Amino acid sequence: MALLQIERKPDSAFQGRLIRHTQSICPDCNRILPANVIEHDNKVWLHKVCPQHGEVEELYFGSYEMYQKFSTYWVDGKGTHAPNVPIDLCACPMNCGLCSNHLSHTGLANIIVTNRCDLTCWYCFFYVKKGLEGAYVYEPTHNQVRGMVRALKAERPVGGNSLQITGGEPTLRDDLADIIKIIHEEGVDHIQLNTNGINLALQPELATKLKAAGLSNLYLSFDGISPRTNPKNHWEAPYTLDSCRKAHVGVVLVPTVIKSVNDHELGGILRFAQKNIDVVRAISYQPVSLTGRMKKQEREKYRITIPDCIHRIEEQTEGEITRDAWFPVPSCSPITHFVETFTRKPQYELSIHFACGAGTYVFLDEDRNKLVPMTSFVDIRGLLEYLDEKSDEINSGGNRYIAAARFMAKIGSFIDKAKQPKGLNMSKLLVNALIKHDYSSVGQFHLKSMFLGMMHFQDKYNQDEERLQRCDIHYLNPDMRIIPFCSFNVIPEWYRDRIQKKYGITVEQWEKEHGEKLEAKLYKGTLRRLGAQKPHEIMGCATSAVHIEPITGV
Amino acid sequence: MSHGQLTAKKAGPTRIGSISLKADRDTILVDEPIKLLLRFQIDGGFRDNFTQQVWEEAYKAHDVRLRLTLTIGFAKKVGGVFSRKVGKPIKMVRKAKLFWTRNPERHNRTWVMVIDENEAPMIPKSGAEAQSLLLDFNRSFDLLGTDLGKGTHSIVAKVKAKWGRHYYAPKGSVEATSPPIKIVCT
Ligand code: SF4
Ligand code: SF4
Repeated sequence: MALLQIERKPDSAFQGRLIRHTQSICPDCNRILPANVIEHDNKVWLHKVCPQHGEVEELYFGSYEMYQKFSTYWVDGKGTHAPNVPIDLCACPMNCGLCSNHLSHTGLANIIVTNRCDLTCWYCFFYVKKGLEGAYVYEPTHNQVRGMVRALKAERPVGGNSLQITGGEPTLRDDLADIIKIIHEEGVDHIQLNTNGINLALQPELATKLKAAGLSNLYLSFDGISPRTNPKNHWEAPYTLDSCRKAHVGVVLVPTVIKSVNDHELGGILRFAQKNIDVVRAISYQPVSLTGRMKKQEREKYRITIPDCIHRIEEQTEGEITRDAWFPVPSCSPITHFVETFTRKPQYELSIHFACGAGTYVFLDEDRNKLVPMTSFVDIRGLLEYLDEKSDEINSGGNRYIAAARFMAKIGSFIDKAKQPKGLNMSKLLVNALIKHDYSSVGQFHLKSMFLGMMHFQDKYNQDEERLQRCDIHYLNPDMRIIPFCSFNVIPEWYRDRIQKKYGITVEQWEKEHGEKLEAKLYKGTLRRLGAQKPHEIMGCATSAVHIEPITGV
Repeated sequence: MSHGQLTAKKAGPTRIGSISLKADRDTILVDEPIKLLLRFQIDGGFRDNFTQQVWEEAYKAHDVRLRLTLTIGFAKKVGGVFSRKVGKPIKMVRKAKLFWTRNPERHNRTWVMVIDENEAPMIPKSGAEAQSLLLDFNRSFDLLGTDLGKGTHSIVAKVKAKWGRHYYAPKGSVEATSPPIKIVCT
């Protein structure tokens, strides 16, 4: 293990208290820079100086207190033992593929099936834009998809088993169901579709078709509860939910959170999900990643971090979902570690950096119509501590069956049965999942609950190579490289654009081959216009939706 | 952590050293609290092996997390040989997590974070500081006069430290009792 060190001395001319040293990149020239994670004003900042382009100080985590709490869950993962880029010197983000220094196996693999889209959102860089020099349509063939999935399954010690089909807009591919079948045939159990949902709203039978092919759930872009905050699919989302409801396809709502744009609606999004809890399984809030060159003032206007979102949710739910309910993603590690020591088999683990993501489970108390976070009836911290203690015991030669029996006898003490939502037997569920590896009851758990997640994708301003090295959201590529999300999208000129150019065709060629214009599939706003004309009718299939405002000049 | 084949680099015994107990006063009223300051350190094999060089090896074996359980109790001497517990023993956990550091100032890639019994995470600046954060103990406890009862008491602290099997130490535990201090409770 060795680190490429551009300069050994991190800059020390910063204000505040040093927390740790790391590395980052210059947002102008991508040069690798030493960086400091520092604290001032009770917030955490990333500070770096490029000898050519100067100093950048960027908000990293909006609460020092939460940063400290989250950092206690820091655990490095097993990594992946079959790197595609064998290399000794670690120079993140230069050698992604994955290289020998990467510290997490793939948790969720992304496959881009097209970079065409039926929308043209101003802030999006993911779709092919006609007329731009060097615009390529990228649509991997079935064989390429199969090859990429095989590369995922070949990861060691744990083969990937969770995959997201993404784009552009994947439903623009007529053969999407065939692609899902291929992925399923190759042994991936969990397949989710990242979509704006418009085609599923327009063609309700599509959800049933995709489900039959092996689709597990939808990852539905959903930025707010008003047309102003969610111009993308405000009018269409209720129809999409209805299609999924009929097809028994669960939905994850995915708001990109931008300060001063939609951060006042985080609670509203949660209420919308609550009203649709029969079909919405989760919300994945994503604080915005600021792409492109942006002035400091503009960044300050839009920049929001995980603790800020957690605080907004607490405020906007009037304390129903408190800040204490949230745990960083690697807090799952004691559970994985326990199952691993108990079964003596390497397990799938979520070993991303503690600053990357957070989550909590909430349950619906139907009598009071309120959401109850799991932390209000489970002593999560105590339970995780206890699991750690038992793993240590087994690892040190203790009898695993005795440890498991003790765990079963003790589990009830971590659960406040009086506060547990009606009909839920948390102790039984945990014993089944952790000891018997019977996950059938977990399905029931999901039906009565929602997972609230958060992931703050990085950008060139706040990129921390320490986070990147632990990334477990990866892109599969036709050259068999598996590239971390925050390299692939943060430095597209090195990864995404090059790959899409190499494996894509020009727009002109695509149009010639397909006999249609690229813009022919653009969404014309059918449902939006119908909503404006007949607001009552459009509400018909979305009675479970929150109040939808009439269009006001969007 | 991998199983079975891991052993400590040096087999020297681990012990509790420099244990001392002090009180903020020697006389209290029965309805008053008293502050006791307990100091000790874990020395010997465990400490000697808890070094950057050994972390590097432990990290390769994915032995990245350590739990050190400390149980601290107080007792008063009864007669010449026996002692009776005062208050309930307190259990505390300190943790160490090895991680791949990108600190450009370091030549080695494995470093450690220590989390103390108050769940405060700390990244030490040196190996010696890491040993101290994990293995040195200096903390005050409140005892109530009612726990002691009226009379002249000889108080000791009983300390136990326990850990599982790791690259830098076999599974083990050490115990020690502090020298007694006199407290008069009226
Ligand atoms: S992010 Fe991971 S794969 Fe990319 S260079 Fe760093 S360690 Fe290697
Ligand atoms: S995608 Fe980015 S934010 Fe998410 S785990 Fe990877 S590095 Fe962290």
